[in-house]
Amino acid sequence: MSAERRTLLEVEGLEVEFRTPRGRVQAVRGLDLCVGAGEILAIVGESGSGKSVAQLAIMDLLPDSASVRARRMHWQGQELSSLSRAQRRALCGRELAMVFQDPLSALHPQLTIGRQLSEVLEVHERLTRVQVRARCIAALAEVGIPSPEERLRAYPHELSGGMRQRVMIAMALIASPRLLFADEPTTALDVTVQAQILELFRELCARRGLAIVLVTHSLGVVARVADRVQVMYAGQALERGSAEEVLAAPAHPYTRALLRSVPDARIEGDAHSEPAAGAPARLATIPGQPPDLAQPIRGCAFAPRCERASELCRREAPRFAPNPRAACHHPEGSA
Amino acid sequence: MSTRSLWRWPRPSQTDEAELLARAARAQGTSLFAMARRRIWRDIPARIALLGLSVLALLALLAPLLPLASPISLDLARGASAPVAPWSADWRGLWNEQYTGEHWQYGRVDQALHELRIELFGKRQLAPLLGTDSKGRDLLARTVFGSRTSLSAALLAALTSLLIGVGWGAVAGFVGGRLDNLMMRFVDLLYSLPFVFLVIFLVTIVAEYRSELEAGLGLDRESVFFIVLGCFYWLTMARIVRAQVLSLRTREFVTAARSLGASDTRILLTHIVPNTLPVVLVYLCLTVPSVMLFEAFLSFLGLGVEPPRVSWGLLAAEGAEALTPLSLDVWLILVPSLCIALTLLAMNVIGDSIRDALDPRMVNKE
Repeated sequence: MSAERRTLLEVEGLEVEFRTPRGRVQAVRGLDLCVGAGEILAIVGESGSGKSVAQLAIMDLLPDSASVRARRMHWQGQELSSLSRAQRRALCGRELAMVFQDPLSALHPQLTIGRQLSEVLEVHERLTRVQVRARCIAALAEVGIPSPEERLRAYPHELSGGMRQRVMIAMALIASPRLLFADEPTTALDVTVQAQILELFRELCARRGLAIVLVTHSLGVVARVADRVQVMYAGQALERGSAEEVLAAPAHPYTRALLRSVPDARIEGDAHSEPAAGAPARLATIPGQPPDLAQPIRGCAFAPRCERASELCRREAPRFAPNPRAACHHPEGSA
Repeated sequence: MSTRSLWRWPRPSQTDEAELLARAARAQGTSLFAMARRRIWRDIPARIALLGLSVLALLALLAPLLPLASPISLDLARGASAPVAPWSADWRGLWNEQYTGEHWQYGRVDQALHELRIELFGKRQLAPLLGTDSKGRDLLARTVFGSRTSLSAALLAALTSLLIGVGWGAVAGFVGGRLDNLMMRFVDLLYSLPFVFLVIFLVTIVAEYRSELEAGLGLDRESVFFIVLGCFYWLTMARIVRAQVLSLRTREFVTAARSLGASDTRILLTHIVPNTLPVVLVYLCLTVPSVMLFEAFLSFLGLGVEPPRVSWGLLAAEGAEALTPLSLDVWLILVPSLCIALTLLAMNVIGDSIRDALDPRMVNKE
């Protein structure tokens, strides 16, 4: 982890609350986030752990039923919550951009690719029509789409899934933002395309100094591209650190449990012969359910499912204070 | 403009800007509407319908200019006469010099057109090709003049549906919350008024205070009819559009557009409203016929257009009266009914074709 990277986004104590008929649901509870230029930060966690909500909150894309608070939400030193709605919207696309999970539903079905790409430039920059088209062609070429001139006239349904995701990325990048939020960008794609897209992300970071916040629940994706990882659970960060550290030596019991529950695809012996020793190992899972976010949480959110939990965990919420890697009273490696 | 750099930050490496611009200049885009236009034109029934409607609209617009007989001059001695059959036609007799120049009070444009007609054709006029009614009035002229009322009622309903209805529904659905509630309750309020009763009521009032109203506000029965039509025919459209917008505004491509910095107005105008278009067009194609039928119905009841003015509905009503055991002047009801039916058919064909043409999924399926 290189500390000399220029910090772009700095969020401290982010809290997001939804007003629902069941009461207030606290989706994000005091999240800290920090990304520097040219860096890929992966946010990992189960469904409903608040990964996507945190991203949407920073982009100011949540519905009105959500209330967002943060001690600090700095974009290049500027406090985001002090900006007006229009000012924040102007940052979207130009400074911060987002790639969504399902490119088919995130692209407008009735507009051509060219029309949708050029709309971003219409909003943010004043260019002639030919200039706009040139930028569109360059953007499509940059994400590796062959014969971009022809693709400009295509509609989203005429492209394959991988192509659509590339178009989404081109759309997000066309106005040259500095930070890209990617919300499970490869979940809807098959593995080979996924590898291509991740490779593209790495390349963009290296070439443009683009910062990427990658939300995913796939640890394989994290291992492949991320510089740093932040593990989220019930709206909080439980562990953070460089990707190698976290994956090789997880400090938080939750991260360890997550890593254990990744299916192992190694083939042992001949596929046609009988399994060598006993029944094949069952996939390890984490017992129990994530906590109900509509209820207040006392102590550590993971304590009810944690094998190392003690009385202290149920009473008092752990902090990153003594251990900078994990918010845990009994991190791995300690007694 | 050329001084402005193509790139803001950062310039991609190994990209030749001049070459890129040249490539961009070569690639041409096609808009959905240009494509839709081409596809509608390629659809033969739609093309026929479109041409037919254009001719009809032109005839209606230029009616006072055409060398038709006067639609109101009576010829009681002649009475009802059948349409001229092509095989028995006395071709020289079809063009006579008996134009009386009688007409109801024209507006300024119509007056000018009528004067031009007299300049051009003098007293010459077409003989009653489609026959005459029991009072000897030329049915062809009456049908052409009658199309003006029917078409303007249809046009008015279509415009209010499109402008007020779509706008109202889109804003209510997009903004949501209290404003949505308020706007839609207003629609409910107007919906709850019994429409036919209201028209009858207003028409009676207008009939009672005719002179005062005409002097004070310039309101006659026809304009009351049109005002009521305009007040009511956007309601269903507003509801339909609102429902569409409600389901569209939570779609992911709207969030995506927002994440790229599009303003609310832009999202509403370029991402949401065009997506409601197929439904809007289909509903419009149902509204227009129903308005024309409604106008016909009111005129049939004697509540719509006032004689001596004519409309297709009024003609059909008169035609129905003409069907008695003593006389079987079927053409009097056939001609206006056929006109209504054919116009409605054309509308439906066009609506269908537009809907297909605007669906990008149909692009490569021809």
